[in-house]
Amino acid sequence: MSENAIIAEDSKSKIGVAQEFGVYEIEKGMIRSFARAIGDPNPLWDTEAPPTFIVTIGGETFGQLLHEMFHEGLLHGSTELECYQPVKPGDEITVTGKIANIRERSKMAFVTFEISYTNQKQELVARCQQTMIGYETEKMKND
Amino acid sequence: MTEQVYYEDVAVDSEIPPLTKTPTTRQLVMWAGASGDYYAIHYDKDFAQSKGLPGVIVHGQLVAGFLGQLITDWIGEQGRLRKFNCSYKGMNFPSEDITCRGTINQKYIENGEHCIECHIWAENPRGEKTVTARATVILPARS
Repeated sequence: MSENAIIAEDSKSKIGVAQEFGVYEIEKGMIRSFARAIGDPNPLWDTEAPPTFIVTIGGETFGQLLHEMFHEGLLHGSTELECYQPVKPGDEITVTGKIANIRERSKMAFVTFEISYTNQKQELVARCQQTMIGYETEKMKND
Repeated sequence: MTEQVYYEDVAVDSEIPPLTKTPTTRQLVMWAGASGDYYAIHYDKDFAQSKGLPGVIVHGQLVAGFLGQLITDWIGEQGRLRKFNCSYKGMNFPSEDITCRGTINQKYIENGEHCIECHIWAENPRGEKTVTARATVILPARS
């Protein structure tokens, strides 16, 4: 790994190591806050969550992990989501994540996380790959 | 609510009704709270500039949420979003219009499910595609 430490030095040793972000009980209010933040008035969200809601479950834990890992600039690269069933109020969702892949090139680091979401019946409700891009802040400023 | 769209009604190359959003910094803060993404490039101008950015930028995943609404508004209560792969290619700035658009790429029946594949994207006022995505949705069939 390069010495510029765009990402924490122990990151590569964590590839493939699963980590539970937590177990989250889905409340109506969480779904309502999400729909309001998007500005989506669809009445369907009174009884189930919009499909993109799932990526925010465990979001604070994921954000903390990113904060510890990325020492310079950080941008979002991509989100690849597969939804198998809708999330509803009362569901208990277990979120588990791991680093799937790290690629470094020209003072940037591309880190792909694989995150899975399982409900209280041990059914897989969704899977998501999030790719984050670390970059050298000074380089960005000079470009 | 709009009328339910069925598999038979959808023509390849047709357009999805567009959706325009103009997120304010207040909406970014609401999104931060709802999603747990408290990275300060989304609310602190000085911090964003210290990371080499021109100013506060809109969360990529909020734009992905707008694209999710584009889809769910269109597919109605009985439609399901199955796959959603999006790439964050450019930046959106607060108080600028974000126009979400999409076209139908392909339709097919797989394992008894009526699938529609579409290309969707978000445009900034300069006509640049800031987020591009491919979505696969399942629609009800009339027959």
